Amino acid sequence: MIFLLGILWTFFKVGAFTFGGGYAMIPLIHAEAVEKARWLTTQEFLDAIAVSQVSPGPFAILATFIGFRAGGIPGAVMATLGIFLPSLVAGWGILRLQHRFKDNPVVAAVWAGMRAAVVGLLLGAVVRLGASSLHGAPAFAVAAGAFAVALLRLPPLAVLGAAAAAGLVMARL
Amino acid sequence: MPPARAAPPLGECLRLLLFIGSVSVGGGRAMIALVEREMVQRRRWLTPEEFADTYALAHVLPGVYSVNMGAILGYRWYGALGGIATVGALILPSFLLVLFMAQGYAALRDVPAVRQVFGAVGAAVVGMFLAVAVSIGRVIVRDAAGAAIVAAAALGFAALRVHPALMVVAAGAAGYLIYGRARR
Repeated sequence: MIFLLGILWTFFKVGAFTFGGGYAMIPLIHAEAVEKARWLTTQEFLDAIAVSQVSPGPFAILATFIGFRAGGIPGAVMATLGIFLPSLVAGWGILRLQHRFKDNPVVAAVWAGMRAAVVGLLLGAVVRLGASSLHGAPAFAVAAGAFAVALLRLPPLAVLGAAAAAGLVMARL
Repeated sequence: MPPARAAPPLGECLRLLLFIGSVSVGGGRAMIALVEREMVQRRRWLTPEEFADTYALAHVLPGVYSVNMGAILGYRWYGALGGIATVGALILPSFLLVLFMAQGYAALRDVPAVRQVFGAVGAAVVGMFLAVAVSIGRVIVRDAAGAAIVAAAALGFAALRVHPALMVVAAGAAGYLIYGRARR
């Protein structure tokens, strides 16, 4: 039981100190789970990253894999709870605060600035993600196709499915 | 933050989130691209402004931003228990899948077809993210100051690798200086 609570606490700390995307967690989780707790080796940790990358859903699901290696199914449950608990706590806190500031003009001005930054962050993510994943003309074609199809408001699953099929075809060539 | 409209039916929302959690290969970005396509463009549960506000907020709160977005929307629409339910729906499929894959992952890793498929899906996510930026930006960017903030944030994130949470806070301060003062 103490062992399981240790898993919960470890991943809660990682979640609480993560802002932004799940990839920011990698060094933190490595320090806690591999170096400190020794739940898995560095090679297994790299495998865990690979599995989390091919899984749908948030990359932070990495915690589930490591929790499983550390303590079976109960360990996986505790690690998953721990890593996502900060989101639940913070989201709840924000809900309480929001009502108070709803009609404040200063807050509205701050939101206007932050909203514009979101558009910039999305574009920046396209550049960063593109630099690491768009190698060669076929990848660019898939990205351009997905962009056009997404703008047409076709079902996103059709976009992802077509991309996966394109990948299979490329694998055969 | 604009006033919240009526919440979408809980069952439909949970079904959609389970679906997104099951197909969003490509991590949080794929999830967010799917949330925007489904909730803003197709179902109109959220305005582009509300989507952007939630995205910004999700970056400055502790926790992974994609899951934060699910929590924020769930709490806003359905209260405390609803927030827990939406987050649960979002992560349940990948939780089960990772448990399943934790047993036989070594076999998966080196199959070239698997790598090709995920490479192609990754490329598609780039395209979908660009579509999100365009359709959200079209509504949100209305003046030169807004366009300048967009450019600064894109440059800061892509070229200078400034942390997104810092960028959101800085843009909030810029918004206060630009829009807060003009209004008085």
